[in-house]
Amino acid sequence: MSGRRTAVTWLVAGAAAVAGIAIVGAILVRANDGGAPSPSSSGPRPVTAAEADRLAVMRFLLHQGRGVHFRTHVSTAGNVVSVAGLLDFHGPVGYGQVSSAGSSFTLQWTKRSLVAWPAAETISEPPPDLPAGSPTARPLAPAQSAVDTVLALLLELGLDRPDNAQLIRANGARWVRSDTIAGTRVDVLQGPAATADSAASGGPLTYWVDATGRLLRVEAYLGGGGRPTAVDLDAGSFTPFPRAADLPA
Amino acid sequence: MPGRTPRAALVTIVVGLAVATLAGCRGEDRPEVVNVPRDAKTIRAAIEAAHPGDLVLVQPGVYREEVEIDKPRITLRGIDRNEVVIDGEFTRPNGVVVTGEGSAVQNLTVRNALLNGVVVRSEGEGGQTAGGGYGALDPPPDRPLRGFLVDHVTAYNNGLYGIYAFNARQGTIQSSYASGMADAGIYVGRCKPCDVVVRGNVAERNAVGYEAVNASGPLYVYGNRFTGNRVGVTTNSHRLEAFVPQEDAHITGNVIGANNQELAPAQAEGGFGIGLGIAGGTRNTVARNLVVANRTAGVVLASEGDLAPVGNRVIGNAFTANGVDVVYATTPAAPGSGNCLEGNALASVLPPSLPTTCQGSVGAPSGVPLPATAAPPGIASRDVQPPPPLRNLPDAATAPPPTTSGLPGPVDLSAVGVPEADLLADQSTIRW
Repeated sequence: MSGRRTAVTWLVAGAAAVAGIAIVGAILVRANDGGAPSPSSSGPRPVTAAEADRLAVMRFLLHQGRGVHFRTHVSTAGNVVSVAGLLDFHGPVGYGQVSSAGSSFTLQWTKRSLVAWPAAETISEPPPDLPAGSPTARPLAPAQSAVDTVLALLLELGLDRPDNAQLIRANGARWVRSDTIAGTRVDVLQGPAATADSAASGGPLTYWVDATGRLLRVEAYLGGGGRPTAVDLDAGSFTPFPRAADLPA
Repeated sequence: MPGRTPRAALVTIVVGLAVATLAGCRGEDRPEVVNVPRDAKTIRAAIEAAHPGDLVLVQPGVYREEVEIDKPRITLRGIDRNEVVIDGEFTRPNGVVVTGEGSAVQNLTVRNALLNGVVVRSEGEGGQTAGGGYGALDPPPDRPLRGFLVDHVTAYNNGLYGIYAFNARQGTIQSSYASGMADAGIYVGRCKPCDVVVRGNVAERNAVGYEAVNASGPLYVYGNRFTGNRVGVTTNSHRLEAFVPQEDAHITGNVIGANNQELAPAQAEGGFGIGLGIAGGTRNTVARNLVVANRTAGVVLASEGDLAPVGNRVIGNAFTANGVDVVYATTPAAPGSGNCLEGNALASVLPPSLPTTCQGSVGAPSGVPLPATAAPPGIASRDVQPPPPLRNLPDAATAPPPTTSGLPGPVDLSAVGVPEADLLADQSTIRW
């Protein structure tokens, strides 16, 4: 019951308040939580020009591919909320299933709004019809909800144009380490830590990017000094899905 | 020439008389020609084989590779501008990356790169961390690239910029063509002083035709045709880059027209129908341009965050058939000062009280919002129509490599008047 209550609280009121990350237009340029990351000879180093190019194209490549599957777990108010589904960057609109401690919802969202059906639907391939019944609607509230912050962030992962590799590099993007995701070798790259207008507390985003610029994972600190929230992405076999009629742009 | 034995096997000596004369003597410093694909199958391999001062001469073909010119004084030249094509296939970031000082790119086409067609940049810009924003860091610790030439290059349907000079000084971008970019066709960024000339180019069907951010004089942009973009020209300051504020550019004698193109990528901030904008720029001179048929506004002076337009002069331009000829669109946070208009042929200004002579500019006018013009949805870079056949570099097969020391050379704008509407029209698909 507590899980359901948590999910309901989030859904209706957006009240699972966490110091959110302001989602700015260019997510690559994020607020730093006070001071520059300290350079380390053994660990992070400035990105090379080629690595900056990959950071610059990754959102554009996702947009060119139109959509992607995603899965994430968001820690909020002592609970873990799982969200999984599809992102259509041409909408942009997301379609996912939210579950927390036994309760679940189906939802669609845009950068400004979300609608949710208080019944679980399995989003399979190809996507099903929309759930029956009228969904609940409310504005997306990333400033008040960690889950909403992640939802907003997800729609920023695709962009109709590349980012500027020179500015990414000049503003402090860093290579962190090598890694492997499902057999694919990736580099773990931290985005720029440039200043932002907000006093947001999140650090730079971290990206797992393969040799072609394909983004497989992104990790964000949502503030509060906790563990980072990771989102796994899979661009395979994306199929566009129907959009809720009453979902505002 | 024992030291050149490996290369001698690769490089066929086809040095024209002019090249041999230029070099003066045989030996390490003599310019040679590396012919692609005869001497090297790929342009990359040819660059690898070339020595400073050499000419890499490319035969017609589609070259599916990203090329980096990482040596000084290399000239990369196509033998036919329209038939020598470097194609990024929407998978490679750039067409040509120039990091070698004093190098030149001439007479070829770069298309379908994810990022840039040609990017000229220094190698040293990585690793800075702008904890307090770039304003706190000026000047940056890195070293600019010095000396470059981009000449008779066609850049189209690249994802970001067509021809991009970043942290690069003492160069010229000329006689080139840029279309179908999701940002600027031609972009000069982050140099102070720039010592850059941009002349005789055509930029059309881009989100922005020509853009300069934190690019300061000496910077001369003259005799270009910036038509049929969504925004023709922007000269801006921005705190995400070093060298704030932008200062002292001359934008003279250009055709800035019909920047209302629906079949072009959207401008990132929704701009549409704008001829020329200065956002947060200082002491720029916009003189003797033909500013015509821009649906929202001909010239806009605006703020960029806390950066105001200061001391800009708009002088002797011919305005025709724009939504509004000149708009002073600053915000209360950065109202600007010392800007003035003089000797323009114009029909309308906003606010209506905006002085139209420099003598009349007493105090800073209050800015007004830019008139709203609904921007139609943009199209993807890759869907923008290809360019027409474009003029070749004369004697591309035989001309010696250009001299890139001392660029951009002296500039005399006194002879540059208001152009006719057909300036470079034979290199353009835009009419109005």
